[in-house]
Amino acid sequence: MSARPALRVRDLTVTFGTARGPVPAVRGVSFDVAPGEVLGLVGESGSGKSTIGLASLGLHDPARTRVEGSIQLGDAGTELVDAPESALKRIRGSRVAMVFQDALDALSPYHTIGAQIAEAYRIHHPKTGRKEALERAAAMLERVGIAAARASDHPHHLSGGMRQRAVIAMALINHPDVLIADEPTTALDARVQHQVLDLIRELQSETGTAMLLITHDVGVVAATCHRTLVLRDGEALEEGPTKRLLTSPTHPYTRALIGAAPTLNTPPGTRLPTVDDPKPKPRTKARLRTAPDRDRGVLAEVRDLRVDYPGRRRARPHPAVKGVSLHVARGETLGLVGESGSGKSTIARVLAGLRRPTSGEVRFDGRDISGAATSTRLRRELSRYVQLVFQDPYASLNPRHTVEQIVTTPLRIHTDLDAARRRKRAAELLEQVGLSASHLSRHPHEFSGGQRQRIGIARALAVQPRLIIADEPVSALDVSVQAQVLNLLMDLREELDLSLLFISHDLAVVRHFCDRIAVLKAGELVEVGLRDTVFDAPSTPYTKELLAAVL
Amino acid sequence: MTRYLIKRVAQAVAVLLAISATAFGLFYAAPSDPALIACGPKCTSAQLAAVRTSMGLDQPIVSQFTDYVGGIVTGRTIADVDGTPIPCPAPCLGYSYSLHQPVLAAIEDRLPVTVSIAVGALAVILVLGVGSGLAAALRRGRATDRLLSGFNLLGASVQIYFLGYVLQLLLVYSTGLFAPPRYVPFTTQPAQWALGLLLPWLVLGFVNAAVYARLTRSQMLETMHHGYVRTARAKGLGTLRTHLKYTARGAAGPLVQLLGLEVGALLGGAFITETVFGLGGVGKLAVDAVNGNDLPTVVGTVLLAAFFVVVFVAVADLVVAWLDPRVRFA
Repeated sequence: MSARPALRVRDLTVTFGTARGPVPAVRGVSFDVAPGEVLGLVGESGSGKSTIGLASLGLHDPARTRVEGSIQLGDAGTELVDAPESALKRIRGSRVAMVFQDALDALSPYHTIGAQIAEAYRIHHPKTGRKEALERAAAMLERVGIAAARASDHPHHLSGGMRQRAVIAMALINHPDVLIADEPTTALDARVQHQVLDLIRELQSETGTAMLLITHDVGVVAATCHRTLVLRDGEALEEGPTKRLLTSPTHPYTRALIGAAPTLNTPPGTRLPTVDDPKPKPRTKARLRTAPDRDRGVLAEVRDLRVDYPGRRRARPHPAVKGVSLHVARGETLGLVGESGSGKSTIARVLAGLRRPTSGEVRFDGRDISGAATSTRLRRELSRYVQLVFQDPYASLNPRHTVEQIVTTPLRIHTDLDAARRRKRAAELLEQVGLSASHLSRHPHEFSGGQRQRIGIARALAVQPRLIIADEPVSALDVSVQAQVLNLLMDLREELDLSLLFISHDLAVVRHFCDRIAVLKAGELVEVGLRDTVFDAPSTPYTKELLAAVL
Repeated sequence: MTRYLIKRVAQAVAVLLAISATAFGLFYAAPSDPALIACGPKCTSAQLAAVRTSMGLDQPIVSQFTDYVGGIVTGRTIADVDGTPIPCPAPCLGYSYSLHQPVLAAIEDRLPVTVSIAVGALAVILVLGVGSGLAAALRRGRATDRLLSGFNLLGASVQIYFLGYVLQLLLVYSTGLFAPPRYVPFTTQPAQWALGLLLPWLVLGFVNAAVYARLTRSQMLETMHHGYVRTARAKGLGTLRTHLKYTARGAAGPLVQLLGLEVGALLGGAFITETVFGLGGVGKLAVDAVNGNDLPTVVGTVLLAAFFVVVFVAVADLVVAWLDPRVRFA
């Protein structure tokens, strides 16, 4: 490592001008990244981590943003803060390059990936011909593990993992001194995430590029970064070698951040530490049972379930679920895991009576409910007993309704309580999920993501359903909020004796929360069993592969 | 692709058939008698019957309609009021007894005027509408943006006949800055052609530009938030080039669709503009035909307008598909 850092940030302060006045996003952050080094920037949403990344490329809109402090590049110490646009243009993509989170959004849908990568090269090598640039792009694609022939494909023809590889190829084609990777693998399935992280590390160490890895995921940091900087509310809390930081964090926030995400070593069912409550005691006794009460019988089940999605025009229908049989017993939590496209959400929709099965039996409490998707009467009756909690707490609450309207709507439909009683029940529910009656008259936009998810849970609980189907209920949340919501669900499950179908792509969360696990792959059931059996002695290679990919 | 084209053509034919049948039926139901108009006020009832027979009006409406549609495909011979046969080769749109010429010939006489007006107005729409929308989006929130949106609002709220007459008075008759509006064929004197139509172009384009300016601006602003625009800038592409290459491409879809409709509508005739500036185009032909109960001309011009709209909407769809590879023909 050379004496001067590749990237030297001092007292960086970024302020956004908003209608309500200036809002500081980053406050006096300083750090260095040496050539060949990987520095992790960890923090939750709003911590300013992405803002630092954008500032390092001078990509902020100068009309709305004030950047102060110093960002210097390389041996010459080229200053980026307040540099003229013409100078920044020469630096962006050649000396500092960026890999963005969502490759589908980050790549232009209108141009082939080859053309987009070639453009990145030609901008900084204007004398290169189009053909030579395209050849270089194809070679770079080969380097990231994509066949050169795919260069003439548009992004929508590639898988998520390939798209992210193409974005990496685009960032690295000019051999930048500094690579900024903003949540480069967050949108990917665990196995693909693993591969892509390995690729980034390999290329980065090969070329001696300094890398700033921005992530919310402590697991990614542990697997990738030499050093780590923890950010909260725009301030640097703690910095150090990753290993030391993860094993003996000094700041309580770091400790909470690390502890909040369950790992494959966390004792299942225990309360997770949160930022406000770093050493939690359970409201009720921890659930350490491994075998559910089998004798209480089956609550919901599908048998030999097939669901086809109709094909485009004459194309053959696409099978999403291919003959799956599984059940949820009374009082148990069944975890449904699998990668995207494995059919987990489709099964949930069938059990909720929202999607008609192509064939197979669907039963709730012994009753055939396969026709619920086409019968309004049956679906309405079913919704008295089966309620849903959704992934995205921003999209799943009507922004024009008050919390009272949101929580009392199921009561209005399913009970004959009068308005005053409904209001009283809504207040109770809010208390139960850790909010208060004073929130009743507010609208969803006044709440944080975690609070909204609590409102969604209160709505699902309103009619005292017998089964709750939770489809990725914590995957859109920050880890410390995820811990709070998981703690809440664990408490409610004991207090209300709930049965749950819990869908997640996060194996550590599933292990922590569920009694029994069903593993799906491409619409088929790969493995089903008790939590400890599946995690400690997986019987199929696919499950083993999934487990190996957990960071 | 072939399947798509066949489907599209079949759709177009169905639309045109439905429109011509409706126009036909409406005029058949109207109280005035085309034979009486063709024959004149001093007609005896025997003459009237003869005229009716020669015009084919004694036939049932369905066979009149099939004759008409057949004529478009194969051509036919039409009898004049006095029974003299007039050959009408395909595509025969009927014979106007008021104008004493085949409808197609009447349209062909006036179509160059309409096409000339449409082409120029479209150019003005593109420059004033799309251009100012782009400029406003790139300078959003600043003086340029506010100025342009005010200017466009003015255009949207003023009427062609008002603006047309006022500008003629000010620019042509009072100051002589502009040549008096007139139509000179492009093929004979291109410069005179442009000078004579400049004022109609500006007025028609200006009045229609606001919609495009607004749509362009809002589409651009929406597309700017996409990650690929940021990616392009992170590659080192300049702001302007990024927006022209990436943002504009993402914003173009709805604009192209709307422009397709606009071109079709403009080619169908711009009656108000033609009237204000005293230009005899297809729009004026159509309105005169309606006023004069000239059924064949009405149906012919309606059909022509529908044809242009159908064709240019299809062209717009093809352009959108070419711009966005994710669009599939279905």
